[in-house]
Amino acid sequence: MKYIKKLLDAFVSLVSVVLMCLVAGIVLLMLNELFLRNILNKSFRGMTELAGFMFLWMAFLGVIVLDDRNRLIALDIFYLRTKGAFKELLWYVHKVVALALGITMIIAFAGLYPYVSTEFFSSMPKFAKAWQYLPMAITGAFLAIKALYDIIERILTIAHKTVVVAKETT
Amino acid sequence: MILFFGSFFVFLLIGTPISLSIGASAVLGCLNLGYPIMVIGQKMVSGIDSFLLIAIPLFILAGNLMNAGKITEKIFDFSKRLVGWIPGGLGHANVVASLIFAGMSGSAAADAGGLGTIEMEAMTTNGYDKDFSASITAASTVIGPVFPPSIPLIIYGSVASVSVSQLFMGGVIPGLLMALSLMVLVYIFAVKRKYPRFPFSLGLLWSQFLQSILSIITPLIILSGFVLGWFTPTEASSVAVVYALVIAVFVYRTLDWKKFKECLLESAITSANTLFIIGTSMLFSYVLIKEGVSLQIANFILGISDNPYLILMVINVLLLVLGMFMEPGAILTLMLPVLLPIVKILGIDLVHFGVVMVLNLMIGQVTPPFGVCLFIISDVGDVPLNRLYRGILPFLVPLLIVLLMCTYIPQLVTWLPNMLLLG
Repeated sequence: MKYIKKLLDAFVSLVSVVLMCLVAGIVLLMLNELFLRNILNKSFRGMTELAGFMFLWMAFLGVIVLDDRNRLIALDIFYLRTKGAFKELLWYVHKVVALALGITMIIAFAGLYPYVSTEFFSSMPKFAKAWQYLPMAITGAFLAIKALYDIIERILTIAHKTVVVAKETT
Repeated sequence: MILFFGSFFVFLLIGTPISLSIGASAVLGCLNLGYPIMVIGQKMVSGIDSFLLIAIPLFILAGNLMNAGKITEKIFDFSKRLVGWIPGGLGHANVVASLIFAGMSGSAAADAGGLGTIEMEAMTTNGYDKDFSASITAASTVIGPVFPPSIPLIIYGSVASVSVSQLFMGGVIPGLLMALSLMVLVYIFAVKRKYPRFPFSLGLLWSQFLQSILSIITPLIILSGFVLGWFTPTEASSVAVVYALVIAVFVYRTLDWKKFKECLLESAITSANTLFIIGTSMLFSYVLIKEGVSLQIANFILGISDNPYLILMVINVLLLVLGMFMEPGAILTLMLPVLLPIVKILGIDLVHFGVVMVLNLMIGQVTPPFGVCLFIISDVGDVPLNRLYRGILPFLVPLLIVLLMCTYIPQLVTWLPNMLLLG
């Protein structure tokens, strides 16, 4: 489990760096477009397409960091007031929902792949639309793996505690 | 459909993240109703794939840079000198600073988390009670997403296919009215409770103006850019970022590399929170439309009366209630397919409706018990929620009056965009 945790942490760190580059890149592309249009009276559609592409990656990859830091917006006023076994149960429900949605996102990408893997639907030359859908699958995979990891870790911790308590009482 | 709606409400109530609640219930709906699974991916991505929405992370970045680069402090110091001499001076400065900050960021959360901390600290150390300081700070954050640039207005423009420049200009007068009405209430409280004020000094105001001029002219640069056609809303967001960066790094020298990287990451993940909600909401509203639920709700609302004023009141109440529970991005994406046909049938201007809708949702964000901005202010200001709930109630009155004025006097919204952008 430790290795999986290290792997997940390393992946989140990598995604964080990518996110910083994506935001900075979008700013530069927008400024470049502004400069070209207003100063040189030219406009490259490719620039805005690329900015849109980077934006999609940023939007989905950002969810990875949010999920890792438990910062996805939630209406948790009721959840925070629950206690004990019921709170534990709700926590498992949250994780199962994340797991199910994550898996669905991967399957949805796989279903779309035959249609978006060609240049036919792409608005950028030599660039298949699949690249725009890929971050959804990556995020889905992370949501699923992280939820599964959290569930297994929680179960193992509870099992470990039970064993310790049992040993102490005997 | 029972599974679709039931799972949505259950997930939401038990504290599952909003985006996951919407996404998972929409997936259950799709699978239960036999839609192909690829629709799920297609709708999620297409919901976010909008050039207009690119402005969201950039305006959030501009706000974060202003907070990290201490530009917000300069804005607050200037506001203090400008209106601090009126009874309840720091309360007025709080509102004016939020208005200036709104002209650069457009995010209520950035206002609450950054500028809000400075404002509350200054007020409490100058003898204002904590509840009052927190309440006026929470109420003034609502100005941000109404006064241009505004993130919810960008989302509205993207979903409803309405010019964002017109929406931005439409938000100017309502934003100013909100600020003015809040200042009137602050004045009443200040006289009643004998809150302190600063002596007026033209010399100090002038020196503070010179120190802060680069920060406070930002809204003017952005607004004039739209009016003169120099840049689109998305490009304006990049201008705001570079401007904030330049003054923080080269003029005030308050931003280092580490803070800059933190701002970049924070902007990406904050916007991802909203964008993922929009993506999953797009899938949810697709199911609503395909199953004819949107049409049924629209028919129900239209069946209440054929009087546009009454229908607008019904919509206002509906949005206020929804705004108390949900993130504005989700409500805009979920409710617009229902509300737009009604609005079009009644002949209501889409720019007018957009500003009224955002105003509604923002008031919902500071309305107890679930207003999101209240949670942020309670957290950063260390004020118990129950005290903030009591404190905020009087401030809802002027905001609701402005809402009613904007709802029933459309010219308050449409006059400026019509004059500057269409005339």
